[in-house]
Amino acid sequence: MLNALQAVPKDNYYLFKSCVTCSIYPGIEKSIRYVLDRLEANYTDDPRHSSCTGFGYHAGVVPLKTNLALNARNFSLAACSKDKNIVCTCPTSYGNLKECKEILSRDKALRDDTSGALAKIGKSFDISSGVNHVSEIFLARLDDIKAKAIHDFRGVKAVTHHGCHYSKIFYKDVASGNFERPTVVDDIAKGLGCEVLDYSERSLCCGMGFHYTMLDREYPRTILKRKFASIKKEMPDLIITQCPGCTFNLDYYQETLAEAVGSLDIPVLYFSELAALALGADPYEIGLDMHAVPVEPLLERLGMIGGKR
Amino acid sequence: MKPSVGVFICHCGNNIAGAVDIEKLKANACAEGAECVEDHPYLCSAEGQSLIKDRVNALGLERVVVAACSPNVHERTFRECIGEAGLNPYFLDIANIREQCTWVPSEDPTGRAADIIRSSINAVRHARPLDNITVKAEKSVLVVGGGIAGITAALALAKQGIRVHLIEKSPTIGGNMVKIGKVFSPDKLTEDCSMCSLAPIMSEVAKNKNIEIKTRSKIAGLKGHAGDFSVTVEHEPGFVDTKKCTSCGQCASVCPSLTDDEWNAGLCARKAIYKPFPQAIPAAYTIDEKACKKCGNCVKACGAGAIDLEATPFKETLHVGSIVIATGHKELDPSDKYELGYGKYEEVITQTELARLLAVNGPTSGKLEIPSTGKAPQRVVMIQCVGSRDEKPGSIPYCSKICCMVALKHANYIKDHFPGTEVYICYTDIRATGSYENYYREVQKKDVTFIRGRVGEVLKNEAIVVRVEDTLGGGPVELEADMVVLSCALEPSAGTIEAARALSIGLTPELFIKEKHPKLDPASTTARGIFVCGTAAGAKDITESILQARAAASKVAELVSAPIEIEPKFAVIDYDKCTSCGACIKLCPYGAAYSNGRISIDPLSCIGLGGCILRCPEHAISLPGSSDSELYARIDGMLKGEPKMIAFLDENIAYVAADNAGVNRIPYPSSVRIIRVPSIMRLEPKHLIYAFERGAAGIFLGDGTTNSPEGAIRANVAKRVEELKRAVAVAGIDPLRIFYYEAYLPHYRGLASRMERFDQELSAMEKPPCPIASCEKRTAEIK
Repeated sequence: MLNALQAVPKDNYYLFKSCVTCSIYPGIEKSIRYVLDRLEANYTDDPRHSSCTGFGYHAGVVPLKTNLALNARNFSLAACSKDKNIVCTCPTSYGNLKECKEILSRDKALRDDTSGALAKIGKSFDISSGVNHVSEIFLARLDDIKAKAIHDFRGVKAVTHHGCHYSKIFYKDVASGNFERPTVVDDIAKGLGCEVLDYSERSLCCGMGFHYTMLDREYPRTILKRKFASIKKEMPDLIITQCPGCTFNLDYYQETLAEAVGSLDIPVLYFSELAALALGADPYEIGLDMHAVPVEPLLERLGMIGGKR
Repeated sequence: MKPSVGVFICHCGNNIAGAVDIEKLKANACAEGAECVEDHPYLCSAEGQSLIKDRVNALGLERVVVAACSPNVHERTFRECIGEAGLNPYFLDIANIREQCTWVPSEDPTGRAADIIRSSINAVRHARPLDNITVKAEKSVLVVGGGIAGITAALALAKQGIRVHLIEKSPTIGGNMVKIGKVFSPDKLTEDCSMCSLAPIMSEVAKNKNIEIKTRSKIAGLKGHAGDFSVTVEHEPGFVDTKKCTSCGQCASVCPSLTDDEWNAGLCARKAIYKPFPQAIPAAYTIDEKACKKCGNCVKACGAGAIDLEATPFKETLHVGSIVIATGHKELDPSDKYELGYGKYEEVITQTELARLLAVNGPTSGKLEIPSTGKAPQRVVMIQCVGSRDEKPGSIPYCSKICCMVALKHANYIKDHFPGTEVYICYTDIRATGSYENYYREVQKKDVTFIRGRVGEVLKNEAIVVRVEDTLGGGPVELEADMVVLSCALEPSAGTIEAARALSIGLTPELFIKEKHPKLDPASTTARGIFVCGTAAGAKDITESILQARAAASKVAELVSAPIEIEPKFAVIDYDKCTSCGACIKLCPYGAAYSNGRISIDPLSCIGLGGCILRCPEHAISLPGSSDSELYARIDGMLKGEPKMIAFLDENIAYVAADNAGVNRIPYPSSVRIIRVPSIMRLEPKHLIYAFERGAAGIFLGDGTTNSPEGAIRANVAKRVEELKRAVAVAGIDPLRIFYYEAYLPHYRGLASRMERFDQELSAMEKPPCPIASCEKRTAEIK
């Protein structure tokens, strides 16, 4: 018996952006804002917040106290904003910010150190903001998205991939399904009309592994071979993700591993890109041409391009 | 005017007289101002006791000190003795000069004995008259839960003349045992019908005049304390008057609404108006409000006019002396274990569902078939330990005790009644304890295949395939199966968790009811007067549930069947000082302090450790028999002469260990002077500082209660010791002069060796700061 779900805030979001999104898939960020605008949500897009440095923290390059102080600053910015509910684009930020909040809530010595650091830059220590992931927000507002959708994805077979840092660290807080079988992305996809297929390696990590991806390329390759082989058995039209890092791995490695696994050519979409398309966003406006595996064939099939541009 | 004291020194044959100078002790006692000093070869004898009584009467003595063996031997004897002489029994103090003096090889037993006697004389002058109190509990009990445990407890109590309110959440009593179809005992190698065993007991409960059954009821709130509970019970309407209903069934035949039949594990349907099963008690139909469409067909069809669709829920307050929780368990829902395919593939079922299939009164009338297709399976694969011995969140980390036997039972039944069916059991360990081993042996002879391995996955290609590793050398195996049966863990029922929250009693990490001391006090909960039995406290089989139910009934009877006499060892509140701040309520681990208009301490729940005394901001709590003035007096008495090591020992463990050291003639330092306290939690910094100021070289704290079910909490004791050390440091005394030892009864050699070690540490330190001369002067001033 797991705990009940934490409440997902319905409005007043502090958008916490992602370094991987901004550098590799800036369209994802645009698609999130597109959807929130269409939902008429109140949100703050603060240029002052920093990367959570989760990549560096998990790769062992950013020490704990630095991570705490840096993110305490981010929390402080959120707390002073008009929209205080932090929503993260990336599960690593989600996990990292929640971890910082947990550690700072429990350990007085670290809390004192961190407050001291903040005081030096003239910021108050306030970690009261809640932390959620954007996919939880979209799930909570799914009915509104469906109501305004002008396209649906009936007939599209999709598989989903959830970020490990979303479901496996704060495992009691998974908003739909459970830590072994999270269904947040599935619920969004099904709500938009997709047929979601199961596949045997659904729970398997995408192989990013932070320091592995920098120091030992064999690791992600080995993992991805298993992942792709399993996806290939179902031959879906689409892979849907909730993490920029996973999106990168599942997107960019298809070509590299085509020899080992056979060609896949299955486009990968982050869930907000899917939702934005459903709401009528122009695919090029949300940067779908920057994906490694071309998304155009699917979009043509769905009648979303071809004739346009 | 100080009360007159008589001091009686026992020779104990040669045990005392052979080691100390009796005359010198008598002279010392006189010097302390005792109005009467006598000695006798055996004070505990009739003659010795007469001597005491004569002297008390002749001289009008007001206090008595008996210097003899340990109080654990004869304290009660001498209390009764002086009681017969007209004195309050608590005007007695025992000076332990045998086990803790003459039997301990040391340098100056006479000097030590003199100190011990002086300490007793000082203390007894401060003694106050105390009496046992009588607590009369309400002679009735609330049993929560009408399964086999609850009804066993209810009958056991009713037959002793105790009124029982038996409340049950569902519309009938019977519980999980109704669903299991077959039971078996270890001596018979076949199965019996479980309803045949259960239904007669259920009837007995219905007929017993001392038991009132209230179904569709649950606990809403609790006030009061052991012996005197006020419980709020909520009743949901069944919309059918159980006294009028004749069970004719006309209502069900016209009811348009179908829903899942929970008594058949959801494998078939029933109407919204239904009788749970033929043997249900109350023997009546009832309406499932969630399924009911309120169409009124049943009302028209009912010839007895028993149906009232407008019935409403209501609450009532029951006044009972004790509560028994018997709220049972539920089978873990394996849907979350998605790799096993439950909920995904219709061929995967649980053991409870199988039990209903095999039951003659079940959805298939006992035919083994896959529920959705009606096909008989050729191969059944059972999977053990689903959610048990599983450390993932949402599972139970330990064994659920019954599932191996359930699987064997079902395997045996299938082999006997559906010959030709293959049965495989994938197990981790087969737990068939005691004579259940015979049953296991027989099942193996019937060609059931056992595979030792944890199933990794159940998948479906065209057929169902079970993937498991045969860890006894067979390697990975893929078994095709027609039916997969999951042996799931036992989880606490929702009612168990609700009842615990309503009653504010402790739960285990898996949310079963926490037994106070699972080894030594297994039917008690963390709250006094509330007991637990059956699977509410953890997985167990029917036999164990019955045993525990009788144990709980026995404990209830101890509490409520007759007035209880309690010794005056519990804490009391001085209402002139109490401000009702409630600090004591928050900190008492036994829940002994409660609010009832004003704050009171329940004598039944308080175990008299005295930890609360230091914490009360107004110092309004006291322990009679261990007052501040008595403690100071004892300390004074022990500290005449050279610096001593005062050893405060808890009376139940450490003090007895010291006695044992004496019995075994184990030496410990001559400087040790033992003072008996309820627990070291009674001690406050002021007592220790007082002792140091009066010349104590060191203070030894011995407490073993943390090892017993009714004792101090280890973390609290550690905290208190730290506090005491810090406080004496602030007062300018080296905190290393305090030594804490967690005592164990059999480890008296350890106690002695720790005292030796501490003595050596103290010798290495400077002499204590307080000059001896001024201490003597202060002592003289008090006198």
